Amino acid sequence: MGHSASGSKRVWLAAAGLAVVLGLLLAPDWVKRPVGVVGRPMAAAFSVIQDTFASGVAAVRERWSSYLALAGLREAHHLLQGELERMTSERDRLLEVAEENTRLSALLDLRPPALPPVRGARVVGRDPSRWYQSITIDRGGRHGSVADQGVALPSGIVGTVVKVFPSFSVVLLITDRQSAVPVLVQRTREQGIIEGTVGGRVRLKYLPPSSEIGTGDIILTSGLTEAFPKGLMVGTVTRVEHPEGALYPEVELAPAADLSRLEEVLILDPVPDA
Amino acid sequence: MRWPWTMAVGAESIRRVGWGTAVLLALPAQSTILPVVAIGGVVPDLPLICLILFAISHGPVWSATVGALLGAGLDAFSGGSSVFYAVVDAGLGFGTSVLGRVTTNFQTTTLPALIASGSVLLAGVQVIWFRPFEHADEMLGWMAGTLVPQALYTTAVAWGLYTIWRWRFPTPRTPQKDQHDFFASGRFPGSLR
Repeated sequence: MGHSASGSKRVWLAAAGLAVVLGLLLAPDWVKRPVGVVGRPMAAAFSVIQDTFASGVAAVRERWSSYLALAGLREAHHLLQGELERMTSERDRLLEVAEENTRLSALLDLRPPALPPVRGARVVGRDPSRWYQSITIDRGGRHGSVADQGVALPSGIVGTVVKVFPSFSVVLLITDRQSAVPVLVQRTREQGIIEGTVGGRVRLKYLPPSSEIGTGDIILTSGLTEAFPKGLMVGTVTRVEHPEGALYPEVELAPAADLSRLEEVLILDPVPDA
Repeated sequence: MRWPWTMAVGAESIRRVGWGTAVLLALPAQSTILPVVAIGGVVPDLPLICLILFAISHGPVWSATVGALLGAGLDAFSGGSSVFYAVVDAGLGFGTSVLGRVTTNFQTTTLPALIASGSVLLAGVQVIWFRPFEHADEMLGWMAGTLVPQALYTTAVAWGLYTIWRWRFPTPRTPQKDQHDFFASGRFPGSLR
């Protein structure tokens, strides 16, 4: 008798456990958020160890790259010499264009786009799950970070801050499938949205079916989100297809920033009058 | 042969401290050190290894608790916003512990199948839940390029770790008796801790 009562109790407990699990998985985000707070102390404990590990890895990487740099110094010098000559000539040409641009802007009374102030941050970890494409940076709420800030490198945009803890933040990369950034094609001025894929690539969606976009076209931010001002480099188109019956062309691009080797990034603070 | 400090402090205490340290280090190591040892962008899943190795030597309740803690940490550090990993890892810990008890002659040779199954199962649950693929060829590419290599890498690392752990701390188990009792009566002998 006692045996069967205990068995029945176990069945009820298991059913209750299953109901809680299903409830948690199916609940909307505003219900999950308070439950997610349970993970915060865990994250705080892990972040201390993560910082230590990240410093160790950075130190080893630094020594190794210093050694490699020494080994390839002569070759690098020749390469850079050629690059310097090319860039000097390019700079002279661009100075001329900038001068002309300033004169024309003054003539038309155009305001130059405000560039956001930036803060540097060190990358201390990559996403521990196998599913998301994100990084952890060592700037959190106590350093002034807030959710939805843009993160970039001089070469191109990197992602958006999605979670802020007191001492660190999580940045969702543009290669993540949940990421969405409004962009425009530099040459044709058509607007679309970039999204990541599971394979870590970036796809440009919602271009008009008649789009003349082609391989090699430059993609820039369109400024339609507060995270990124207009005109930041996003990437270069690597593949364009027009599948029959599709609403928009399938476009893939290579991000301008090397997202596989991120060590330091820049957090874009909101422009004061934006 | 036993190390002298093992005898002085007690093997059980050492084991507990060892598991605590492993659980605490698994996530930070996964996000900082393992990307450095990636082979073709593929890294072994250390939290999964830690959870499965814990579950095969502990009861379902403890395994589910450790799974939930590891999952909560994963949820906090990952780019997602749900409690997905806390729930799934708790279930995985519970299931692995139960399975471990009814597996006859459980030993290092049967571990690879268990780890590989866990790795594929976790990935499968994520695919079903997140539905990330727009085309079938994307899914096939992901399976060939990520899922299978990762399951193999994870299994190899887990096997090595378990062999070392088992050599130092042989776990007294009676799997055949457990299995007999389970299939005879539908319940496990003793309390499920």
